[in-house]
Amino acid sequence: MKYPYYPGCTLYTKAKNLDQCARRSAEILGFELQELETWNCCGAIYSTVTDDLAAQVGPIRNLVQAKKMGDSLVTLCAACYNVLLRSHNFLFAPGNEKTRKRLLDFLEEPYDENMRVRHYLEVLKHDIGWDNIKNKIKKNLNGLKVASYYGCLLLRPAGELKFDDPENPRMMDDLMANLGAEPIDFPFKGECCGGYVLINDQDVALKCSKTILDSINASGAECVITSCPLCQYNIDNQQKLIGERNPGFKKIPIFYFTQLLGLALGLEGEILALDNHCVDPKPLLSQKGLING
Amino acid sequence: MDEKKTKQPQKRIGVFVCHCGINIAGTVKIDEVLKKLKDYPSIAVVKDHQYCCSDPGQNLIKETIVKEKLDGVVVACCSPNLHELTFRKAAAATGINPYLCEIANIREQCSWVTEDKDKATEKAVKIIKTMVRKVQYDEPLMPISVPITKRAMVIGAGVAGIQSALDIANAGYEVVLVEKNPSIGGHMAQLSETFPTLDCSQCILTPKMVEVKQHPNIKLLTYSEVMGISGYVGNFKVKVNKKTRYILPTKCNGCGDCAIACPVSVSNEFDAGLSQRKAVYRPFPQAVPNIFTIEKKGISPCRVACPAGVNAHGYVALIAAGKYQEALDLERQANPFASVCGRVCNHPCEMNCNRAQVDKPIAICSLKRFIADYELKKGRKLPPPIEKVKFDKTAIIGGGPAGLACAYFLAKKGYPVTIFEALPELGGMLITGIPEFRLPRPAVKADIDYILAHGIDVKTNQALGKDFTIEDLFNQGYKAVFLATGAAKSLKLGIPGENLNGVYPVLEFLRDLNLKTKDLPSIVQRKKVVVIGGGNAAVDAARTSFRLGANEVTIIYRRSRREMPANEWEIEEAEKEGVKIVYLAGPTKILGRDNKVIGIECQKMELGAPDATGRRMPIPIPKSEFTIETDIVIPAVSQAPDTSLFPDLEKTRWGAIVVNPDNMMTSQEGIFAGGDLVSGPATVIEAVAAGKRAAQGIELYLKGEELKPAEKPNPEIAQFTPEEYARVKKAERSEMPKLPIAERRSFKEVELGFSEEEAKREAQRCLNCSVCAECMECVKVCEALAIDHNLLDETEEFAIGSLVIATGYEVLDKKLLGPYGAGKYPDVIDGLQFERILSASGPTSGEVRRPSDGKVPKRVVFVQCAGSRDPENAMPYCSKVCCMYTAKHAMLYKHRVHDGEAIIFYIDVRTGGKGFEEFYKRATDEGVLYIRGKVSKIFEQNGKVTVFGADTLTGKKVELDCDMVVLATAMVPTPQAKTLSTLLKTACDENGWFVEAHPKLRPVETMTAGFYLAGAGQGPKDIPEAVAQASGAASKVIALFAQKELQHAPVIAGVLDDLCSGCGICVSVCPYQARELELKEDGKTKKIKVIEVLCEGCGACSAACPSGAAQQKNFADTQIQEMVKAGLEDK
Repeated sequence: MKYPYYPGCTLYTKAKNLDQCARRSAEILGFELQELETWNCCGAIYSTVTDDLAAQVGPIRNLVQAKKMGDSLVTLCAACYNVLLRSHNFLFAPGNEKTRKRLLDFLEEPYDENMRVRHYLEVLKHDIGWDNIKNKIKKNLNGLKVASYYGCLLLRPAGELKFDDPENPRMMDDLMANLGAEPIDFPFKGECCGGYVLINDQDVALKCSKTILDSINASGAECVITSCPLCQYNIDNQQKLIGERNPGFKKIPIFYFTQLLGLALGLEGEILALDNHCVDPKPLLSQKGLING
Repeated sequence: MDEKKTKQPQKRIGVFVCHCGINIAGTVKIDEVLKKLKDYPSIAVVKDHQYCCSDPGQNLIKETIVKEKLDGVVVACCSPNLHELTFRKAAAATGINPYLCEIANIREQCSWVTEDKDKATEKAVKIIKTMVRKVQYDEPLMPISVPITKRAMVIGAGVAGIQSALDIANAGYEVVLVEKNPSIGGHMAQLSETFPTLDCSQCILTPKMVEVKQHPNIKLLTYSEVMGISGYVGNFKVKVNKKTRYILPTKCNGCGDCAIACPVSVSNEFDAGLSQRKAVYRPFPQAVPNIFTIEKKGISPCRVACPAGVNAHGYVALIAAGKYQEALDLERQANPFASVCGRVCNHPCEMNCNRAQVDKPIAICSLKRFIADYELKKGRKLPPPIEKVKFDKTAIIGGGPAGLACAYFLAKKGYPVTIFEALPELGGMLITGIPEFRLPRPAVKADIDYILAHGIDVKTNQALGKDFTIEDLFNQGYKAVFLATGAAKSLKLGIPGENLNGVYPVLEFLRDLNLKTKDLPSIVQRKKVVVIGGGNAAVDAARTSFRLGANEVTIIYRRSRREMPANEWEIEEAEKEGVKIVYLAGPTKILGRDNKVIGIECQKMELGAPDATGRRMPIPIPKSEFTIETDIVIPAVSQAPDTSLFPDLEKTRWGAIVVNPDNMMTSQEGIFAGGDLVSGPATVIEAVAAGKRAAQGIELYLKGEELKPAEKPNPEIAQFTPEEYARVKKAERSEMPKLPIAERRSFKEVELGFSEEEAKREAQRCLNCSVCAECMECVKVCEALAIDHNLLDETEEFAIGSLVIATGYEVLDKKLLGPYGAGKYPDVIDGLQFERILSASGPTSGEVRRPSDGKVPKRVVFVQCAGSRDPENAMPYCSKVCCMYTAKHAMLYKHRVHDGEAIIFYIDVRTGGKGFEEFYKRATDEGVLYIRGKVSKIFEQNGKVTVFGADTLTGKKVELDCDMVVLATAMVPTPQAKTLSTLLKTACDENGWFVEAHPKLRPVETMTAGFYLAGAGQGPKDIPEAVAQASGAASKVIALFAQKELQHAPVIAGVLDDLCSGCGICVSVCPYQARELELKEDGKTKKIKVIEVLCEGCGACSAACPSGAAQQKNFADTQIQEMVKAGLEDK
């Protein structure tokens, strides 16, 4: 099965491991992520200003490219997922016929309602199925205690995204359980990490991230997974600063879920990019017998 | 119709035009109307009046009718909805038939819809003319009398239902009060104190409950539900399903001994899930009726799965309660082999256990072993032999599990039985087949001794065919014979080399081992062994070889692991012990030198299409041969029974003995057969089941009775929803301690058995799927002999004149409140749960303690509007009582915990009742802190509950920690309300509350005549309102019953017999089922009959009838045509 795939800017640069592990895992699981022939930045934030058409052009151009390859578009970055899905809905919202015509005329490409923007996790759960993934495990995650941090963009607006229960999401937790890890619950699964506010008001963003990390530490988890490069940046890289300002703060490694997925499916070495982390995950993984050394 | 017109004399009609103030006169020019109508044919007089509906107006009409000797009246005024009745009454008062008085609506249909005076006037005249024409054709009609059954039914016995029932009963009428729960009282019985007086809720309710119980006019049906209704007002027939409590209400004295003996505990709904109750229970001590109820929810899947019908749920529940001997006794009622099956059963019960939907199934088999071992450890006394009360002897040939089981069940009933066994010892496959590391000899002996203690004769070393024949047995006076000789013939591989030395068919191998008839250790030590096959015998042989000191043991199986029939847990142990398994391979040749085995040649297989058994066929892969070196080859490729000893019995196509599966009798009278002999190699429990069935069949045969098909009730298999499974806290399954691998080179038993602690813990994981496990402990202790587990539900039908619907409410399930934890945090509770905590008879005896750890909370946060006033996520409406009860909760909390802090988050505080505002002020005076702001998130981590809210009056975020949160959850309708509304065909609104006839003026009536509403079922309300409404509904019922009979409006549809062709189309379109086809006296023709009391005059039949036979009185087709003509006239 081939899925049109939109990596997004960050997956080509800072979040290469999120991307590479996803592609290789897909191969092992028997499906293929076919990157769009040409794509551009999605804009990263969904503009809720209804006449901000310039902001819509970017994501819609990607959707139009995907349409040439099929009726769905798979992505991994939570922000891209959020923007692409909502842009598609915006185009076909009742009352937007004129805007739709204007945008599509500008792009000079055909497009229709028949397009589903899907997250890689949805493909894993609904198309591949947990049982099939279980059968391909080479390295059981050995009871690793994993807290799944979803962040906001993957979950809300829940009525539009319909990704999972916004108050009690379980998709990543279920994936981890099927890989042999122990999913750990905590109350801040879908709370904001601070997002972009990090850039213009670092203190506010750090407070958000710290609340989440404190809650995860209190829950007894050994590591965290996420699917958003911005969340990863906030809760991994900022642990250095949080640690400096809060003596006694316990650091905890943050993974992309595809890294642990790939690890379980047998990927090793550079592709996992375990050196790219701010909080080094190697001691934990080696203690669990999941990597050598 | 023309005929009729000329035949009838023209009526003298009076027209009265109402000004209705300026409502009509402001637009319609009354003078012009009067002028235009003055000379119209058939109008005798035209008058006008400012307000016809007033007394003077009505008097004018009455006087004019008399003075002008009028035959009919048209009042041109407002809509007939408002005053048709008024004017018809006025007309009737003068003596003319009220149905000859019609309304011409010149207001809603005319003056109110236009500002054009000319057009309005023109239209008014046309409307009046039309109605005058109608009156010309109208016939005088007499109302239809309807008798009334003066018995009421009240559905729901909460405080509203109780009040309605008492009021109607006190007025002298019979009431049937139906309540779905085992006791009346509803939610009010669960409350601690009620606002604003802080009266003890049960103290003010229980006197009314007792009054209901003692009232001679009230028939109380509890644990019952309405399941069907037919008829119409005054004449309903209501069917009520009375669920059985399995306890006779006339005998139960409420002593409670049964509840003490019951081993099953489930969530207590009266305590809102904060405590547990037994399967046999009384909701609360003051329950009315004050008797116990046994709850059964179908039958547990473990019991259904067991071939022998062992009550697995029952014995597991008894183990959980520490009653081990009782558990063993219960188990032995269906299967005497507790020690044996507790070790080697393939436990289909576990494969169907619902606990697997949460984590792992209950270890039912190992628990059976525990109770069997426990009895032996404690030291047991065997039961005395059963007195022989019957004299017909039965001979059982074969002392294996099937034969022994049959003997046991016959002996228990007092029949003399003799077992004939060919070997020197009893046990069959139990001692010859299964190796001792799985089934030690003492375990088999323990069960056999128990069985034989019931009084069974045994003759060993007696082989059928050699030492005696079946004929001999009958000659010796045996009246019945049960053949249970098993399946002991090993099947051959059918390949070259099978006769070499070292080829050891598995049954011989295992028998020689178990009976020690050969020195197997010396044969197998240090040798290589290959076992062919994938069943339990093959795995047993492999593990045995390992223990006998073989160097290498390999199993060769022709399919893959998934198809291997041996028990999965045995295969795993074999692998742990070092047995190698080669899948997808089959032997082709056994290689030998000097007539001794030196190796075996096999070829690889691949799986093809499924065969008759559903397993995929192995297909040899050409040229894939390979050789394995070996000294011993043990073929274990299935066994077969030796049926050569029974030439006279009918056989199937494959040579198996034919038996009637219900009584196990063969084709020959008096000869029965069962076990492996009939089925081929199967499990121990199936053999026991066969023996039991044969015993039942033999008993019927000996008594000379016919075999009747099983007439047992077929209960549903108990199950839970996926959500319910998700809510169960996971717990690890107790692991069976096993001998370490290093110690396994002997025949010591590998599984070591549960400790008492482990066993009890494991048994307590049972979900009690069917609630009552039918363990019968309650029956043993009930001195009043009130318990009968075989009782059935009953249906009773009542003739009812009127119904009061008082179904009440439930509280919103917390799972809908995602941001507040969706019910997963133990210390985030709802208002009803807090009532139970406050209640002196509640789970904490009235001490305020939090559910998670029982600590006294020092700071409690109360959250109002949890699910109410929330159209996006939950209920859009206000639940009315929460502001008051939250203030009450906060105050009561502070009264009990003097240094406690109570904080209430609110949106508004709605205190509109009498004394309510004062009550709220008292709360604030007593130091309850009110913060205006909605709570956005609640979570609990590490014993602390955190609340995120806001204080809108200061504009600040509020984040605080506390010990417990009480959510004032929304009131929602009961789930049964929807079903009831469909049954009664009375509407519920979009939120599920019953709809009243008019929200302002008719709050206790519905749109259906005869159905009234009382209490929260109609919408959220507090107790004083519910009681008031209940009395209101009762008064409607009383008013109905006070009449001699009911009058039904006669403007109904009839049938013109001559035109009716009996096509029946009108029957299907009638929404009131008022028309039916009747066979006439000639026995051939069918004509329509109208049930007048049901017809509501909607006219659907009239429109549908193709021949015009269905005509409505005073709305006949031709009449309407004439009206149209009159309206279209130019004049």
